[in-house]
Amino acid sequence: MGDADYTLEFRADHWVGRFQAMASPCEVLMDVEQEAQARELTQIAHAEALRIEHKFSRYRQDNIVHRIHRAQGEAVEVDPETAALLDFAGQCYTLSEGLFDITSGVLRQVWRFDGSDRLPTTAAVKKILPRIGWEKIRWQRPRLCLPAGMEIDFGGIGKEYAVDKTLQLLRARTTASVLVNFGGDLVTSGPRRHGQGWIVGVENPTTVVDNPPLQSHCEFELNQGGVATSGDSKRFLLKRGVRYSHILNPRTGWPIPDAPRAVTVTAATCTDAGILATLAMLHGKQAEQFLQTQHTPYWCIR
Amino acid sequence: MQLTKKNPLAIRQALAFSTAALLGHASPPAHAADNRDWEVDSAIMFYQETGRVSATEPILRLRMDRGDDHFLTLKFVADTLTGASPNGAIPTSSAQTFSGPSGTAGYTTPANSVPLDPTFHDARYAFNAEWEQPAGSASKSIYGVNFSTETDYQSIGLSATYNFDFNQHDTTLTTGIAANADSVQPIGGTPLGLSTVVATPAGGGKNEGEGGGGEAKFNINKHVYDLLLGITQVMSRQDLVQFNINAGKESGYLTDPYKILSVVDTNGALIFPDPYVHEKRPDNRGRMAFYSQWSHQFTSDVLRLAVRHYSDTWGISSNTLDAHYRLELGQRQYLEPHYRYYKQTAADFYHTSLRSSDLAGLNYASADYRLADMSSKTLGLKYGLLVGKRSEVAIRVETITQHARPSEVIGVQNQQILLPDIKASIIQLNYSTVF
Repeated sequence: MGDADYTLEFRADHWVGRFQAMASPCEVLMDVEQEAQARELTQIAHAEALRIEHKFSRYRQDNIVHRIHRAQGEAVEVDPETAALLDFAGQCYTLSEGLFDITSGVLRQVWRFDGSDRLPTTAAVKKILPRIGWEKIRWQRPRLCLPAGMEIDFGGIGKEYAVDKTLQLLRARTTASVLVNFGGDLVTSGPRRHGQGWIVGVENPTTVVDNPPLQSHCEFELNQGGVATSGDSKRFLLKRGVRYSHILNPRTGWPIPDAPRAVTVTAATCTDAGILATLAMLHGKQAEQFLQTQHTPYWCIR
Repeated sequence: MQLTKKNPLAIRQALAFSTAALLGHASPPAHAADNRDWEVDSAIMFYQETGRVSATEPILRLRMDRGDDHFLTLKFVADTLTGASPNGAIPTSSAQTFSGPSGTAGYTTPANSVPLDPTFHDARYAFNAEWEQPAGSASKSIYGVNFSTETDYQSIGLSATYNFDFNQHDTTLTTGIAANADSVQPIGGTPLGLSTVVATPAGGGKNEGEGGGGEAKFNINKHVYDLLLGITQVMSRQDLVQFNINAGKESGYLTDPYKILSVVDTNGALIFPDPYVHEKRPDNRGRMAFYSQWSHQFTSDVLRLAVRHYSDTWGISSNTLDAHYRLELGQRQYLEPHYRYYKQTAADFYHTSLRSSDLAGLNYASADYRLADMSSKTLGLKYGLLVGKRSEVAIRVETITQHARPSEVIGVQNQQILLPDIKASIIQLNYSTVF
């Protein structure tokens, strides 16, 4: 991996390392003085982002996800990290009463959220449903048995997980405040040197569609913890004035009706924030109601 | 939504607990790959042309994961060729005697038979190494070196390929360059193209300059350059299409030093006393190939269709249709039928035989049936069985039928089958595993 794969820039009073991973622009903000230290931290973050991307991407042929899919119903023994993610996915499934399901990715075969009006047919959606359902998986650490034809997709938690894991690695290297931001999902290790937080912008989906250069919906100061967004700012279908969000109900195979366009949540970790944001979306019309009970700052855009 | 029936705050607490368990798990060091596999592919292939050449080819391929998406691939191939190969002369109504390529032992072909050179045997060893490394998060580069050696031929080559993924990895652009430098040391010297083949007196000939006016060392190097441009596009979860353009240039000694042509009179009979000349091909060849492939995955079966169009400056133009269907038999076995149809036009300088009156006006000529107007059909079947978790054994059986057409049938040649169909079969055994 060449050094050219990330950039480093000094901005007023902190260093910013930037690179591309998980199909998103990624950045690390570092409250440090030395360029060498900033460089080292950026390299660690970059390597960790790529490691997680490679390990859990469903586009690759050389990783654990591919091995699980290739097993065609045979049991696959997985490493401890994959096991931890599977445990977590199972807990999210239970917590959401089946609405958060990492086996629902096969719905992509019929749903293409490209802004068009091409909805799949009811029959096509129905045909996919037998291949969805975490309860059909046999998962007993360290062995996973995925029925042939089914798939798992860590896409719903992978980026947030990567953000938190990266912060863990950086924390082991520095006591200075850092902020890890992978495509809008972010976490910070704590307040900056002068006691202030990092300024974070929340993206407004309506301006994303109409006006490609991102305009922040609002800005706020983040002192601690993570922020994540679940939204369909660019991924939706529009037919006869009805907007179909990309948040699909794995039980029906259809989008959750009346889901907000985007939900941004702050929580102790980026992973927590990501799941809460997704759960809010899954609440559809009651998204705000759900969020209010969580006693954590949020932005819900309709 | 049912979610709201629960105490929502309980969700956040339970989630915090789960997340702590998830993140409490120590991240493996970024530079230790999670599974550094060694893939091993081994195969042995037996090739047999009915009544002609046969080859045995063991192949060993190792792919080593060096961590961080760096891979080293090593491949070894050993080829043993034995049997007889057409020397280019036409069959005639009387027996024909030829001198061996080294001027040692000659051989005689019976009447009405295609002259085959029985001294055709060689061993070839080839080695190929490739290094693959990421070049940024969405691309990778692959560098390769290859060597091969046989008694009278050595080749060394370098290649570089760059793959660039975009469109969320749905599209891959491939560009590649390759260069090969080959050197030929024909046994018994390099014959002068289109010169008369001198009959060897029994008991052996000269070491060099075999054949009238033969040259010992003449332009015996060959250079090959290739450029590749390709695109692979994921169309849907079931469909993948690929287009490649390959442009190549060969220069240097492209002639086959052991191939000859029969020289005939206006009635198609061999002229005497010197009825054979050495072949001669141009020193340059430019070629272009267009390849497209479509793969479609049904529920589990996979269909792969490919077409290829090729043309070169020698006047050869060919089309290939290639189809594979992988039929899954349960979860551990598969059958893969294969069909291939190939058709080419003859090279401009291909002559099944030469009229003596035309000889003076020719710059190039070859009677190599591989440059003739021809077609071939391949039918094959492969059976694979998964053994244990990460190994596979497979057997592949193929038959190939090749039908070539003479450029011209002169006079009495109509009493001969100048280019009989060639039938060949392939049996290949494979074993691959990961450890």
